[in-house]
Amino acid sequence: METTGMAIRPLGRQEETTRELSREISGVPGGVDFGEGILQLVSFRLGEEEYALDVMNVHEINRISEVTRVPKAPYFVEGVMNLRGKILPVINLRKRFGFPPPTTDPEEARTIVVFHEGLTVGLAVDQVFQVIRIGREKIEKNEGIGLGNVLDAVMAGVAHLGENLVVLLDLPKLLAAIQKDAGKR
Amino acid sequence: MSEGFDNDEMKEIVQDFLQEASEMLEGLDNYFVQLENNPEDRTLLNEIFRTAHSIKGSAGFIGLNRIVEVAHHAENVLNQLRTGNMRAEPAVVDIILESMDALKVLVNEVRTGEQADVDIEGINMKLDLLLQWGEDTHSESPGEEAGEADSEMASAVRDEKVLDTRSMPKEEASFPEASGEIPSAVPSPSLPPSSPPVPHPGPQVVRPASSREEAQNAEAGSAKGAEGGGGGEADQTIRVEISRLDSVMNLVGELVLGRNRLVKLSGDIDGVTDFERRIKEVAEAISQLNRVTTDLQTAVIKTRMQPIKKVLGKFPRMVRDLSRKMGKSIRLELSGEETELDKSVIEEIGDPLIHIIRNSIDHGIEMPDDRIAQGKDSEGVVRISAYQEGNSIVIEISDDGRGIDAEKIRRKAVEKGIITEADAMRLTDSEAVNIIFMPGFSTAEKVTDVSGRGVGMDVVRTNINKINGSVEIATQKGAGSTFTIRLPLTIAIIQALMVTIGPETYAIPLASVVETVKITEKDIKTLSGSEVLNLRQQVLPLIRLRDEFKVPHQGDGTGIPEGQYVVVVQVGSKNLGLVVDRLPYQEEVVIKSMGQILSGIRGLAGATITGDGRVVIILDVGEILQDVSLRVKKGVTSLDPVSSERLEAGV
Repeated sequence: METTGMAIRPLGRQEETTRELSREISGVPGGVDFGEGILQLVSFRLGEEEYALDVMNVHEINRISEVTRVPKAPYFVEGVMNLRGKILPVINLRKRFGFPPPTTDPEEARTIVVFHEGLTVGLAVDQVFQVIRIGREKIEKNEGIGLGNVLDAVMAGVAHLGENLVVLLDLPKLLAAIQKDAGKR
Repeated sequence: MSEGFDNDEMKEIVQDFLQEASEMLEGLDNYFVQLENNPEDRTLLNEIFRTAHSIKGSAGFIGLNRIVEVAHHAENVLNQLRTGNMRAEPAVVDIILESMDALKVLVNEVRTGEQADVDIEGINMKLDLLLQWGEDTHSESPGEEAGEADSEMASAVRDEKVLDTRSMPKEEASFPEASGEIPSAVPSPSLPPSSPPVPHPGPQVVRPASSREEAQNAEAGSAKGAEGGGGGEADQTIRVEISRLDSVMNLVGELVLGRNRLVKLSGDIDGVTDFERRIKEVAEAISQLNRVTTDLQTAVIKTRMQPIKKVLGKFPRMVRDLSRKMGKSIRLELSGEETELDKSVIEEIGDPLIHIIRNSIDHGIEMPDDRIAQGKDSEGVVRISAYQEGNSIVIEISDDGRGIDAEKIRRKAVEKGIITEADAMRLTDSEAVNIIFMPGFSTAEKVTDVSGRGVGMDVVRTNINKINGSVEIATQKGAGSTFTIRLPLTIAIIQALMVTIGPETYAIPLASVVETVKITEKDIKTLSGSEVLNLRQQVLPLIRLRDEFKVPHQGDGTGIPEGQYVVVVQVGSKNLGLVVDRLPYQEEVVIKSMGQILSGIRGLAGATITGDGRVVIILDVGEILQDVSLRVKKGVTSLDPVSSERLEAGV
């Protein structure tokens, strides 16, 4: 039947990434601390950059199955897909943020099904890495980072994972912006 | 009510009472309307008395004292009517109806659990005054001072002012929202000082019985709430005949058998040698499942069906009140009340019907004198009939009033900028009349509280479209108008024609498809810049879904196949041809919403999931038609001859 809880498995070629990340994660004592200071994030790739969403908003992660184009839909809507008998709108985050078309293996592409306040949508991304745990103090609030307006408005902050920068998205803001633009037509 | 019925048993009893009482009160409304026409009808009077009495009885049993009190006073008056000591004059009926409204509010109060400020004393006093007045006029003893004084009081009771305050909550739509006065006090100024000391209730404002939010929820069912506050919320329960449930049960039994058969067939696959036979068996099992699910679907749909009487039953009272208020004489004729519709459709159809009826009464039917001057019967007739026609239900609302002046509509529409002068000239009379369904159109010279607020007919069309129905109007000047509403039997499952355009598949609701025609590119002609098809000497406007939906071209160059199909669709009286590539098959589809983000797209009704798991978009033919006709109108008026020639040459 339907997955009610988290259905997140590390997908794709995550082996090396896991190793790389676990160095950072080991900074957390025991690595299983679910205390208040720790955030759990699903990290994924869009273009060459790494992004993350709070795991609490993620319902499941799917391979991108057949998506039906919706005519006259906003440009960032990839289409709708069948999620176990329900119609799920799929947002193309790459288009939403104005990134160029993907150059990587489409086999890696995934849909992250997120939900917030009764709204469930799929976010199409290039690749999903895994769940990372990170201390809140390691996240830099988004103020003053000039990454362009579309992205700036929906950023919660930036996490430093060694060499890598992970942009943490603010899902409620992202969905609100999407809904607002969808209503403009 | 705040008495707090804690245990379940009591709750159940109260629920039963609520349902029973609401139905009885509604029935009473109609009895009284009948009574007014036949004041001497004994059987009717007895029936009324019995009904009122059993409401009182059941309320007393549960201890709903406020209801008992009002019912008791009303019963006293009814008794006088029954014994022939009083005649059911309109003024008398007005007051009794007022007490019925109060009862409805009180019953609703039990339902919501919030105490409404109903002026019970005021109502009771009016009923008592009525009683006294009845006795006095009956035993007409001259020279009795007290009698005269009471008689005055009685006339005060019947005073128009009282009637006006009374009629307010009824006219101003649904009760829970109405912040106006509820049947309130006898106006105290008109009471002579000699009157017995009664508490003088000041004008009271009724606190909405339910929160704003609830009131909005109730909007769906506001056909019910609209008239006198029978109950402001859509019913959350439904009564189903046992026989219907039995048939569902039987079919579920068969479904289980079918499943077991399949499970068994798939389970012991190892020892199978005769595969052909096995395949045959599986095919048989599947075809049985197929049949059972189809029947089950029908059976389940049937459990949701309700007679349209549920809505129509409220109209006699409404028509009575409106015609009395406007000084018109109107007879309401109902037929086909047993016609059944899906519960969700029943809930949605109430408001549009109320609007149309009000419109007929306000704008349609003339004043009695005017009617006589035109050689008509002084009594106007509003007729509502419902019947099934194929896969849809038709409701016709006709009146024998003055009809709609197409010329006036044209003028008004141009004045309001809804259409241009040139368009107005081009429109046929029947097209012009249908402009009243456009947003922002109202011909009412003066705004009355009955109709003519400038909203109205467009809301009617919107609401009806929402449940996949259509509405149109036919009229003859001087002879009356007929509104025809067509509704689907059910709204969740529809027959759809699948069409393909390049790589994409779409579903068109079969209900709006008239026919399909195979054409080639050269059959498509151009007429003032728009593409049309000459179909049996009729000019059919065309729209290429490929362009409309910007379907991506397939890799191999042109991608447009030789020969195409035109799906002729019709909504109301308008036709349109949709140009598509292929018509692979028909399928019964379940309409699903595409979610908030995609819900507002014009021309798309939703999506469905086909047998092979794909998502297919369902078209909203009504919206496509509307958009296209607007576009064509704008396009045609802005095109000069040269550019249209160029267009023609281009194609």
